[in-house]
Amino acid sequence: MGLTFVLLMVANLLIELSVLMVVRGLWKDQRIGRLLLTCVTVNLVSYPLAYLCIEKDGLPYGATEALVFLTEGMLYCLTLDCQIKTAAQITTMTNTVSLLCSLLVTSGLAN
Amino acid sequence: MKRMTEKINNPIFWIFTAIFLCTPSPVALADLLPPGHKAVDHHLIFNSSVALQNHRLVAAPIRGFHGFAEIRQGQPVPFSTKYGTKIFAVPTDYQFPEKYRLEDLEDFPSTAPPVHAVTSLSVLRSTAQIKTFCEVISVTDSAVVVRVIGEKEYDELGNPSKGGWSATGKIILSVIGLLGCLVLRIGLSRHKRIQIEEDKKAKNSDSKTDHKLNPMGPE
Repeated sequence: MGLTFVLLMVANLLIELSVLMVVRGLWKDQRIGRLLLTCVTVNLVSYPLAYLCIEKDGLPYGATEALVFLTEGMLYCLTLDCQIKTAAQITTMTNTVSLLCSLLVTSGLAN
Repeated sequence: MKRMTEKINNPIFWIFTAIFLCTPSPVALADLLPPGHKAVDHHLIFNSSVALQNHRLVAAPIRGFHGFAEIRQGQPVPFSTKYGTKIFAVPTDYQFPEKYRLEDLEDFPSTAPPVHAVTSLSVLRSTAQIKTFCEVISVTDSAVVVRVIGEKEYDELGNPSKGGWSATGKIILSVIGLLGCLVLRIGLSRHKRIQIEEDKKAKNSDSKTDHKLNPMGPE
């Protein structure tokens, strides 16, 4: 079954925004609206590139995820003007949940 | 921070990182279907050819226990890179043995399939079947020369696969996202600058008020 790129990107974005909404209390110095907007733009950068890597078998899974983690971490750090620790926390939480969801969904589809 | 440095200096950390990053591409894993991948059928289809006037084609593996299959023009033929499928050209009057033995075919001209068999693809792709169209150019005493005419991908319903978003489209989307990040960053910097200026003004006005109240300055 082939799922469309846009549908998957929107699903990924909704998952990450939900995670941010749940744990927003962790970063009290960040305005939530700005955090969510940043999440959208950061994912707009990383998701198409990661999708491309996996679709074309260009990079191993681990390397793709590491690339996403690094890219998003840097972008959060630059866009929110926050500490590296905060950026790492945001990207780890959002990407871990979305990665687990995607593994569940894609395993189901492959079977 | 100290604990972090200790971790980075530990060689085991780097060994695990290297293993994680080098997890092999699914293409390299012959029969395993890693998460996010699905099995696909890959077939060869041979078109009619003048070079096959006195020959018939047979596909047979050089490894494993699979038997041979006669290749008929226009009919899809499964093949395997793992089991080393070879294509043999046998004379038209050749009588096929009841039981397949590689030795029976070894004397005939042969060739490897012109493409590698694709066994799995990312679930992100709609392709369920790949057909590679081939043509026999010539048959010599020792070899069969085959060329690829084209390749088509089909979905589960047998319709040609849709391409979806191209690589260029995805890269453009990424660039748009990057511009969005840049705009947000500029906006944040401007907001901070304005806030600093306002703070300065507020401070200045406060000191002026103090000066008016006490023109002789503080005692």
